[in-house]
Amino acid sequence: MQKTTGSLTAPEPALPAARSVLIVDDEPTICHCVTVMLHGTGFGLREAQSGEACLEICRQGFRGIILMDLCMAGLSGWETIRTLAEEGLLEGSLVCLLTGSAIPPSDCAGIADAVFDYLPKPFGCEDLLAVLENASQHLA
Amino acid sequence: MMTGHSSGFPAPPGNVIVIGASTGGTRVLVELFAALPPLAACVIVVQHMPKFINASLCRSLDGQGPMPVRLAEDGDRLQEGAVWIAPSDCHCHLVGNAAIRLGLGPKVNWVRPAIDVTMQSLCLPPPGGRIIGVLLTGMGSDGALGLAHIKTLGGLTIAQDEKSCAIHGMPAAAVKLGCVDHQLPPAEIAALLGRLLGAGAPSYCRPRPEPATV
Repeated sequence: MQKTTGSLTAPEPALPAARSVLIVDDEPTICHCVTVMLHGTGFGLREAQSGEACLEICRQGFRGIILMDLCMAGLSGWETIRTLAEEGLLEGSLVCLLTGSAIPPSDCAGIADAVFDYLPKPFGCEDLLAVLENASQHLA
Repeated sequence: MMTGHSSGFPAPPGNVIVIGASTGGTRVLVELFAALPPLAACVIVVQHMPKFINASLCRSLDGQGPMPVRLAEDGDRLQEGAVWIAPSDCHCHLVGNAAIRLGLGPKVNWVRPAIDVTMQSLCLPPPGGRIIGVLLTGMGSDGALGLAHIKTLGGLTIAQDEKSCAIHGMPAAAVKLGCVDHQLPPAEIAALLGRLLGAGAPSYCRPRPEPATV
């Protein structure tokens, strides 16, 4: 809700981490679908269309639920998660994987415990909200 | 530091259940604990998770069913009908199947706490006692050797089935070792545990919370 003071407009208060979602996926269709699915749910959504963009957003202070695609050009989902963990940027955030592929054990070595949940593609609104609501209660 | 044994403590429990979980595990644990009756067993849960959600997971599971749930502390004596959650960043050892010893040490399977460490610290139960290992969703293979160890003790092993798993890595690794007695979805895991250990629950279990009416 915005307040006005003279000619100044106060910024909207930031959402708490429990209601903040960052979708990291290089497919614009996926980002659009998640935007539509989360409309009216009380979750605020930011988008990053690459691992590099995700890192930048987290370095700027984003904390919340990170929906991470694994197969991206440039920095992969795994590499992004590793870098987030190494830089201490996962404190206060929970990572949920988005993928349509099987996960070879070697890919997740050392960071399996950094991945809180998993949402296989394709996913529906109900599945997405179940994952988000579960993560949300641990960030409240 | 372990507390000394006192005649005021109950005898070491005969029945011990260790439940291991990783990615996707918190949702499965909620479903499992909502369906479990009071169990005549002490239950230890090893969930791979960041430290900052240790307390919230305890609160979440404590409200699900009749057994009290607490975060494990070094020296805790195990009691039947209660649940301990292994805290993050240290391994959770069971001493004589009766007490908890938390310790630092190198990561095992790249994780700490490692499900394998807890399960492999189990020893033979007293006559008539039962050891059960349950391995739920997660990546990697932590817990597979733990279930194999439980089989060598004559215990029962349960792995979450592939259809209900967010990620079937850990249960699949155990199946590959040939050490899994049952592959089941969470509701049937709860039903099986209830059939095996649901009778004779101690009186300090709370009544099951009544579902909220709309």
